[in-house]
Amino acid sequence: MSPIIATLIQIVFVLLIAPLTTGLVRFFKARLQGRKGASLFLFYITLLTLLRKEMVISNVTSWIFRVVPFVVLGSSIVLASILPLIFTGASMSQLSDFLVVAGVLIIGSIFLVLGGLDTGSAFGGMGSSREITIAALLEPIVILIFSTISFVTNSSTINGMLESQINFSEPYLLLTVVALILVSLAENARYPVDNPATHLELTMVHEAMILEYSGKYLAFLEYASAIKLTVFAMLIANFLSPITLVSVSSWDFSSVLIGLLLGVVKIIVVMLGLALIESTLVKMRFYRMSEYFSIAFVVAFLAMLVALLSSYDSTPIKYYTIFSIFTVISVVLLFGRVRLKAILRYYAFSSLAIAAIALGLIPMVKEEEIIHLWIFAIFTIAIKSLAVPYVISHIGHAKKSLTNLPSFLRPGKSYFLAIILLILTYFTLRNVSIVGLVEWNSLLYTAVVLVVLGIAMMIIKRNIFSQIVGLLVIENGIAVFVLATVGSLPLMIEFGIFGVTVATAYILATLSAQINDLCGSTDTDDLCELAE
Amino acid sequence: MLEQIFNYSIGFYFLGLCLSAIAAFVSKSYRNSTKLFIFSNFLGLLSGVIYFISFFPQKITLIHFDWFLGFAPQLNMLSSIFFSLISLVAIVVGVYSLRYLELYEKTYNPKTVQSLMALFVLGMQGVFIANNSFSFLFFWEVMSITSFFLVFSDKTKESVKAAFLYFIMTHLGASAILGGFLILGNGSLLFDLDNIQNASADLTYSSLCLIFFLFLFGFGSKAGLVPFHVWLPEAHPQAPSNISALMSGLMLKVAVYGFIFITLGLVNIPAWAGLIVIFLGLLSAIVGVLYATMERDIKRAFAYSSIENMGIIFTMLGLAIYFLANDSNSSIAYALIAFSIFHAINHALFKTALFLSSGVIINRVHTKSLDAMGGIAKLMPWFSSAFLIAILSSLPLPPFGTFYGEWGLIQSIIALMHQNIFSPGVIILLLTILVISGLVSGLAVLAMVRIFGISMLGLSRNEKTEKRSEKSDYLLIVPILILGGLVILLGFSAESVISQLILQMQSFFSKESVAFSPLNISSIFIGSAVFAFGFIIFGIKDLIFKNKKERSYRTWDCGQAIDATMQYSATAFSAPIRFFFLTFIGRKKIIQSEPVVSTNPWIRKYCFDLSMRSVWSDALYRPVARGLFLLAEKARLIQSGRIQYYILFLLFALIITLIFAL
Repeated sequence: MSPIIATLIQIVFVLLIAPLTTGLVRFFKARLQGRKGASLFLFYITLLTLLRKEMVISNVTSWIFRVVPFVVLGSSIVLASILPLIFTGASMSQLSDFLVVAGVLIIGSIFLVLGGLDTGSAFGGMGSSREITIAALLEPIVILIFSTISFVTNSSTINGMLESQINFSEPYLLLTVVALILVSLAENARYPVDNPATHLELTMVHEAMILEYSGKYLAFLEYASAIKLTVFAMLIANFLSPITLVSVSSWDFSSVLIGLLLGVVKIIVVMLGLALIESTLVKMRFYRMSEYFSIAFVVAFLAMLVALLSSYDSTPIKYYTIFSIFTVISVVLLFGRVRLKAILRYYAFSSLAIAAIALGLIPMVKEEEIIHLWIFAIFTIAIKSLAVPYVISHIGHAKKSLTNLPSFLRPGKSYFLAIILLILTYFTLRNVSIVGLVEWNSLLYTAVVLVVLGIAMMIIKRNIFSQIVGLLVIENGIAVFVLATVGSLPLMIEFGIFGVTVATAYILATLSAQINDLCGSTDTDDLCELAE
Repeated sequence: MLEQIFNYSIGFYFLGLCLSAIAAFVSKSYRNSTKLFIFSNFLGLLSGVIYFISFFPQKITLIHFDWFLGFAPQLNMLSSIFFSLISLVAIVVGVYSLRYLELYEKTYNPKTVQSLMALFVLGMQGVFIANNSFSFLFFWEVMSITSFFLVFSDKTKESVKAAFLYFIMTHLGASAILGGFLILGNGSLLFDLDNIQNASADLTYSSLCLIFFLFLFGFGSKAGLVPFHVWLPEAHPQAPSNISALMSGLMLKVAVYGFIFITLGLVNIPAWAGLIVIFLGLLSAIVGVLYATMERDIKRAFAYSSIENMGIIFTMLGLAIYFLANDSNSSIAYALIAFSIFHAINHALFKTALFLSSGVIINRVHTKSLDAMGGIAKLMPWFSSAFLIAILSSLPLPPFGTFYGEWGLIQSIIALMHQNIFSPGVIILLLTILVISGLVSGLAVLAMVRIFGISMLGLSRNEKTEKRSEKSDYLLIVPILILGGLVILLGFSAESVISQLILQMQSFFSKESVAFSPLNISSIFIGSAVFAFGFIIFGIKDLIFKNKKERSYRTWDCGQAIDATMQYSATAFSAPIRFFFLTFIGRKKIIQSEPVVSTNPWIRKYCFDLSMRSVWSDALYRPVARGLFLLAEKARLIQSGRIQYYILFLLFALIITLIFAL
C-alpha cells in the first residue's frame, strides 16, 4: 500500500473519532464529578443537528465572517494530515516541519480572531484579544520545545523526530513533553487557560469568539476544535511512546489495525488525563496567564539546557539532577510568598520533588538498598507533601490572622536575596572539597541550598508560622543530604525521622496557635515583649 | 550586442527618471510625469532581468566617465538584486500614485511630490551603481534630501518637526559613513569601492574598529536600528502614503545593502563586532514589535514593524559576521547572509503593500488613529482581501516568502548549536536569539492581526467614513494585490532562490568555495499543498451549502442595542500585552474622576488618558539634547556683539594656527 493511502486512512480516522474525543472528556469529567454524564456519542448528534439548523448571521459582518469557519476547519484538517499520528512516513510527512506546523496553528488562530472581531460585539473583541495574546506568547515556547527535539534527533520534521525512536528514559524528553502538554492545554482552550464549558465573560476565550456563529458555521468551528484536540492528544501520546507508530514502509493489514486500535487507546488515556487535570485545577485569572506561560517557558528552556548539557558532557543528565533543580526552584518560590496556603503548596511540591530524587537514584544504588529508597519516597510523599501541610493549614485555618505571613522584605527583594544565596552557596561549595562526593554533586548542592534558604527564611519572616516552615525546609535539606551521602538509611531511623517531623509540625503549630490565642499576635516582634 | 542593450537601457532608465522629475513641472498634469516614471522603471526592471539572464553573477562596468571624478557606474551580483527589486516596487508604487495623488490634490502639491519621488528613486538606484565613495555619498544624499522634502509635503507643523528630526539623524549617519570612507581611502574622497578588502587589510586594529562603528552607526541609523531609530516612527508616517511605502519598503533596503556590501567586505573584523550587531538587532526586533503591538497610529505601527524586521535582518547579519570572524561554520554564515537578503526582499514587498493599504484606509476615514477606524471590510471587500493578503504575507506563515526567512534563521541556529556544542558562550547566545526570535514572531502576529481586525472589521467607529464604492479606486487596490502575490510567488520559489543566493554569497565574499548544503525543505510542495487544500475546501463548500437557510439579524446585544463605542478598541485589544510587558515599555495612565454635581458625590464623570512613554527619548536623547542646549548657552557668553572682541578672537585663532603650523 502506498503512503497516500496511509494519509487518507489517518485523515478519515481522525475525522471520525474527533467528536468521540470531546464526548470522552465530557464523560470522564462527569464521572469524576459524581455525575452520570451524557452519552459518549452526543457530540456526533450535536454536530448533525447544527448542520441542519438555520444560520443567523449578524448584519454587521463582512465576507471575512463567512470565510473563517472554512479556514479554521481547513487548518485543523491540515494538521491531521501532516502530523504523524498513526503512520510515520506518510505522503504528507515532509510537510511536518515544526515551523510549518506552528504556522498552520497560527493561521487557524488568526482567522478565529478575525471572526470574533467581525461581529462588532464586545464579547468577540475580548475573546479575540485574549486568544491572540495566548497564541503570541505560546509561539516562543512551541519553537523552543521542537528545537530541543530537533536538536537531539537531527531532524526538523516532526515525522523525522518520531521516526528516530527517541528514548523515553532521557530526562529532557520528559520535560519537553510536560511543556508540550502545557502548550496543548493553552492551544486547545482547556483549563487552566480557558473554560470550555461556560459562557461567562470573565472566563471565556474560545467561546467568546464563536458566540455569533450558528448552524453550519458553528458546527464547522466546533468540529475543528474537536479535531485539534484529537490531534494534540495523539501527538502527545506518540511522543511518549513513539514505538506505537506504524511505519509506512513496512506495514500490512494487521499492523494497520493494531495501529488504529492503539490510536483509540491513546485518545482514551489522554482524555482521561485531561479530565483529571480539569477536575483538579481551577481556571486561572487571565491576567495571571503570564505565570502559566513562564512556567511552560521555564520547563521548555530547562529541557533545552539539559539537552545541550548532556550532549556537551556526552553523559546524559540523570533524573535526580532535574528533580533537585525542581526542589530548589519550588523552595525559592516559597521564599517570596506571603500567603500560608501558597507557602505550604510550594513546600509540598519541594517534598514531592525530593521523593522523586529518591526514585531517580534507584538505578544507581545496590540491589538491597532499592527498597529503602522506595520507602523513603513513599513516606516523603505521604508525610511531607500531604500530612504536614494538612496539619499546619488545618491549625492555621482556624485563625484568620494566620493566613498571611508577612516578611521583612518585599517579594521581589526576597527572590533577589534567594538568588544571591544560591550563587554564594555555589561558589562556596566549589571551593570546598568533600571526599567521595564527586558523582552526586548536584544533590549536595541542593541539600546545602535548602538548609541555607531555610535559615534565611527563619531570619526574614516575622511570623512564627513561617518559622515552622523554615524549620521544615531545613529538615528537607538534611533529608537530601542523607540521600547524597549515605544513599539510604535503616528502616527504623527513617520511621523515626518521619514521626518526629509530623510531631514537631503538629506541636509547634498548636503551640503557635495557643500563643496567638493568648496574646493576640504571632508577630515575632510582639512576642519579644512576652518574654519580659 | 546584449551588453549594449543593457548599457542603453540603464542609461535611458536614469535619463527617464530625470526627465520625469522635470516633466512634473513642465507638463500640464503630474500624470504624464508619473507615466514616464512607470515606464522608465520598466526599463530598469528590464535591465535587471537582462543582467540576471546573461551576465549574472559577474560584475559589469557600464561606462567610464573618467573626466567626471572617476565615475564609472557598475552593477554587481549583490547590487543587481536590490536594483531590480527597487525598479519593480517603484513600478507598482507609480501605478498607485496615479490615483493616490489625484485623491490628495488639495493636501499635497502633486507635481512636487511626483518630481521629488522620481529623484528619490533615482538617488536610491544611484547608490547601487556607485563605484566610488564620492558617487555613493552623492546618491545617498540625493536620496536623503529628496525624502526630507517629501516628509513634510503636507506642510503641517508635525510634519516639519518630524522632517527636521529625520534630517539631523540622516546627516549624522551620512557623516559617519563619510568618515568611514575617508579612513578607508586614506583621506581620498574617490575611494574605489572594489578596494574595500585590500584597503581594510592594511588598517590598524583600532582604526578598523573605528570604521566598523562608523559604518554601523551610518547604516544602522538609516535602517532604524534601536537606539538610533527615533526618527523612523516620526518621519515615515508623516510622508504621503506612497512615499512612506518607498521609504519603509525601499530606502531601508538601501541601508541593508550598504551594510552588507561594505561591512562584510571588511577583512579582519573582530568577532565581538558581530556580537554588537546581534545585540542591536535583537533589541530593535523586540522594541519594534512591542511598540507595533501598542501603537494606535496605523502608520506608526507599520513603521515600528519595519524596525522589528530590520532587527531580524541585522541579527542574521550579526551572526554571520560573528562566525565569519571566528573562521568557523562559514557555510552557515553565508547561508545566514542569504536568508537575510531573502527576508529583506520580502520585507520590501510586503511593507510597501502595507503602507499603500494604510493610504487607502486613511483616505476613507481621514484619520490615522486605529481607534477611529472599523467596518471597512464591508465597504471595500476587494481592498480588504488585498490588505488581508498583505497582512498575512508580513507574518512568518507558510506559504508566504516571509516564512522562509524565519525558517532559515531557526534552522541555522539549530545547526550552529550542533557545531558549537563545546563553547557555552556561543550556546547561550544562540539560545537567546532562538527565544527572542520566537517571541518576536509571535508578537508580530498579534500586531498585524490587531491592525487588520480593528481597522477593517466590526462597526465603523467614525461617522466621517466615506462610503463611496471601491470601483473607482482599482488603481489603489491592484498594486497591493500584485505585491502580495509576489510574496506568495517568492514563497513558492524560496527553495531555489535561497539556494542560488547562498551559492552566490559564498563566491561573492570569499575566494575559495565552501561546501554547500541544500535546503531540506520543499517550498513548492508546501505552497502547492496549501493551495490544494484551499481549493478542496472551496470545492466542498458548495456541496455542503447547497440548501443553506440563513437570515440576517443584529449582533447579540444583551437586550440593549450595541453601537460602535462598545466594540473592543485598538487600545483595549493590546491591553494584555501592555500588562505583561509593563516593565519594558512604561506608560502614563491618568484616571480622573470628579462629581458631576458637587452636592452628590456618587454620580461622577471619569476621564481616562493613556500615553506611551518613549523610554528611548527619555533616557537617551533628552539628556543629550539638554547637554547641547547647555553648551550653546555657555557658548553665547563669548558672543557679546562687540566688534573688538571678535577681532581679538581672530588674532587668537591666527596665533594658534601659526603655532600648529610651524
